[in-house]
Amino acid sequence: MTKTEKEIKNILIKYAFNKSLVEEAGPNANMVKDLKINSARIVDVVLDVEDAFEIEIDNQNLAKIKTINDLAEIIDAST
Amino acid sequence: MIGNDLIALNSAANIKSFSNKRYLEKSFTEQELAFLNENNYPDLPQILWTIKESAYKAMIKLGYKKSFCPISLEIDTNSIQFNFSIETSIRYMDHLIVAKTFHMSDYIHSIAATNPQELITINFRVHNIKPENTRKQSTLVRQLFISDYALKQAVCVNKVSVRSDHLTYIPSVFYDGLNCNIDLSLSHDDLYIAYAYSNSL
Repeated sequence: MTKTEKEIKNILIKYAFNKSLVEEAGPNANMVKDLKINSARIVDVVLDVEDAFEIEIDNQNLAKIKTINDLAEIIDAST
Repeated sequence: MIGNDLIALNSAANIKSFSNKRYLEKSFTEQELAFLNENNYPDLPQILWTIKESAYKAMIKLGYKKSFCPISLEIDTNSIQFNFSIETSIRYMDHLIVAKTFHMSDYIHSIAATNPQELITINFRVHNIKPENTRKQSTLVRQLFISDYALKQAVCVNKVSVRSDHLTYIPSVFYDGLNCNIDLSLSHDDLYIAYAYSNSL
């Protein structure tokens, strides 16, 4: 797991009902379906990621985010 | 194809999100943001959100693989009239989806359909669960649907099952191992679970 993915997990844990699902998740875990994060919280996750990495995630990229890895790729491409 | 979505109004997480200006700007189009500013109607951001997500859930059944990006679904705010149930249409790419939303004291529930005729055939139910069961929402909503469906169809409840596709996560209904070809949508938030289904898959 990369440093970016670990930082994403730290953000996801804030919004997860079941923290252990996030702790044990691999990079291909679907944030809503596998990690059981409410879909309404994904926008919160994106806002936290924008703040933490000092980037802006546009709508085109927002529509690509399903997994931890999807988010990590967008961050790595933006930093 | 149909979809449904609900939002618990008393959830602290929802209250925080929907009062955050950046959250709203990330979720709604300029026209929708103007509509929010012009109308001081209670829980309006949550209403628009459930409309969008129910429409998205209907769309993914048509094979759309994109993630839920709320701002890419455009609600026709001119068609919204504030009643107990709110009917409106949503544009997503080249599709028009219709939705009906129920604004209750504790939650908002939307059902959506890619075909207007489907909207009137949807069976749905919202159910309140106990706080200790919030981690079991996914299981409980399946159990609720199965028991209601078996009762309505007068079939053996033990032979009805719901399985989700491992790639799309779209749920399908089976009876005695055979696909019933029912268009099912499941939803949950905080202390509420909901299903919606239509027989016309």
